[in-house]
Amino acid sequence: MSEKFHMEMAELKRDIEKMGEMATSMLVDGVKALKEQDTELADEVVSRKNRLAEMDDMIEEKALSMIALYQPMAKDMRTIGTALKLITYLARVGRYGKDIAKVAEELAGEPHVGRLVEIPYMAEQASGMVGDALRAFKEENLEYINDFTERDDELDSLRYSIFRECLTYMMEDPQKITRCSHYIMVARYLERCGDHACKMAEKVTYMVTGKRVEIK
Amino acid sequence: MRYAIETKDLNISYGDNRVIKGVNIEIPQKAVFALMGPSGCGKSTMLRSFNRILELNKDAKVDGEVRVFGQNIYSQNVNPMNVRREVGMVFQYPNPFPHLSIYENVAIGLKLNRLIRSKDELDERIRWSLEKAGLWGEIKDRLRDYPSDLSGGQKQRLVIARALAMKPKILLMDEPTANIDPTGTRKVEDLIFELKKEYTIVLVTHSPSQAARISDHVGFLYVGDLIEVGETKKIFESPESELTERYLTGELV
Amino acid sequence: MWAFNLRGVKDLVFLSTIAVLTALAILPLLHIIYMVFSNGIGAIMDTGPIFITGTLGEGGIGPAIVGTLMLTFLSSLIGIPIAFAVGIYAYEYPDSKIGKATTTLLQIMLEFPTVLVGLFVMQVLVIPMGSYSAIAGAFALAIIMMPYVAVYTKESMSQIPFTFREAAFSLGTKRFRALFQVLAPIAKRGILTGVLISMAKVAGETAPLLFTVGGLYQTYPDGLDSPIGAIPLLIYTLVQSPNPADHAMAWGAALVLLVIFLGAFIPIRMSLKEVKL
Repeated sequence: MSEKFHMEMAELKRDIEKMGEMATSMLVDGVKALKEQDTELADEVVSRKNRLAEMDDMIEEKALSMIALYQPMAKDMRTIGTALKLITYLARVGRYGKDIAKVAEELAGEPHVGRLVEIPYMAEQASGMVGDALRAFKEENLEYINDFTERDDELDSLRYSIFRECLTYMMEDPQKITRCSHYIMVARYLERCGDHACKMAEKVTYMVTGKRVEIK
Repeated sequence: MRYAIETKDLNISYGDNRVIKGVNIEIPQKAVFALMGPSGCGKSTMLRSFNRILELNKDAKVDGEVRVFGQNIYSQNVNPMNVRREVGMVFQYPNPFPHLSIYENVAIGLKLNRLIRSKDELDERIRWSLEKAGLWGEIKDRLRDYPSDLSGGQKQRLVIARALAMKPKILLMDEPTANIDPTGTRKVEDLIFELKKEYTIVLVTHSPSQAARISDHVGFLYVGDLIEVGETKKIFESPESELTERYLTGELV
Repeated sequence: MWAFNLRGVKDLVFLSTIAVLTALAILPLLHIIYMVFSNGIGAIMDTGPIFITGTLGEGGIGPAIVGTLMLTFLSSLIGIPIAFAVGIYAYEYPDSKIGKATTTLLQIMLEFPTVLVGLFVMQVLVIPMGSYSAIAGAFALAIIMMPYVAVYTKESMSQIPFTFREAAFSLGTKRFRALFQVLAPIAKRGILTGVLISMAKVAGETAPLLFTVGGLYQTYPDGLDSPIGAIPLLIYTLVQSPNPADHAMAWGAALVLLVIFLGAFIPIRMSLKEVKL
């Protein structure tokens, strides 16, 4: 493969990095807006969705044109295939960030229940996984993702415990039902982000080793 | 006799220079097997040991076994001429004999070996070969013309017809499209795709893309060593060997 | 600007020099043709058609013409098949003892003094037979012709691209069939060129005929084992005579020889269909 191809490949990877940063930040900032009841931040996060969609389209176009022009093989081909999948997952992660920001707008003005239960911690874990998957892609190093099964299990149990906690609150005080239902939704979004991070890790593993694995 | 061609510890040298080092390869029947690798790694040499045409080069020395349909063609009592009638060959430069007409070119192998006596049978066989090679429609009115009037792609298909006329079981192709324009190349590749239903085809190619396009199995040869062999899909998606990987991504030339 | 001019001038000087040298090289040939034509045409015109058909007594060189044609034909018959086979052998087995010896011997024979060939044949054929003969002359000419044909054959075959060799053998043919029915025809033009050039050469040879054919100009030749004449030999004989009429006849004979040479062999060579690769 030519110099030109490898330069474009490096550029493609950098673009994925940027999109990853944007998606992760939407997630993190969405939760932050919720926690600090910052409607301005929440607004801003929602507006980022357009840029994210643009990046999605741009990277997809670049990847497809590289396939058309260079007919890459083996690892080169797997890398481009992985890139195409990653942008889909990142788009979803970003969308969850936006959804959480919307929840923040709705719930602002009233105090949190149970200090937002464990949502901030869960958000840290989920965004950490997404970040590590991206790092693994960038450096082609599978060490960052070799504990994903455990971490995903943790996310699952966190979601479950948040659910139970919220149930208790809702049964205690019907006034809290609205807030707590939203909390349960947010926890679900965060758990889904963890799932997407696992899928990303699967694709990165395929890219590096050529073998398909299941991580959940 | 599962394989069309099998080699056991095949070693080929030109004088002191060993070009093929202890290769064991298995080529399945009725499929296209591509041999790829950088220039000078011995692919064409090895191909020529499969029909013993390598012997035209006096410096070449072959050790080991080459089994065609189970029989070692390098054993003492085997006549190379018989091997060549079973194993046909197509070359890098389309080389129909310039002094013979199109008809005579296809007929030459049959005439020289006295394989067909009657004129009618001969006409029939010529037509069959040219049809098989996808050339009949284009030249059926020009059988008495000379090959110099044909395009590169047509010449190569004529060469294929010439080889097919002998009704071989295996076709060896040494970079058959290396010197043809893209349209001719496409036609030859389509032809190979058709022919593999009935013939075993061993294709040496410089271009991994070509191997990816038309082969079922692929062997990667590097400096005389057979690095990896496998189904085309697997090799081009995720090869086992790092050397293959590096070749396919353009690091090895 | 200056550099361009200098190069242009250099080119011009170079080209002119080459042109002049080429002219100088061709000039003798043109001069010969002119001389022969101008001197010979007179003799032939004066004598009329008898010059071609009549015997020496009638003022013609008929027997000499027939002699030359017969000798050329006979020597070709003897020499060409052998030389062709030798050429093919030397091509196919260059490393064999015979192949290597052949190549060297051929090189020697090409340069061998032709008068010695004549002497050799005299010893071997003329003296035992007790007379000069056409066969002896043909034999001597064949010896001279063979190396040319063999070398031309070998070289023409060597020019065939290797890929045709591979193609011929890949069809599973026996070696000699591949050689004679596929490869040699591809080299046809080169081989035939060699054949024609050597025939032209021997048609004009004089020295080998000196001690072998004897010369026969008063009557037409009547057999292979009796003496025969030839145009170059006749010219040689006539020039040595003190009679100016003989000299005139010699020029006339020279013109006939030239016409045969240029008129017959060159068109044949040019009309050979080129095998387009």
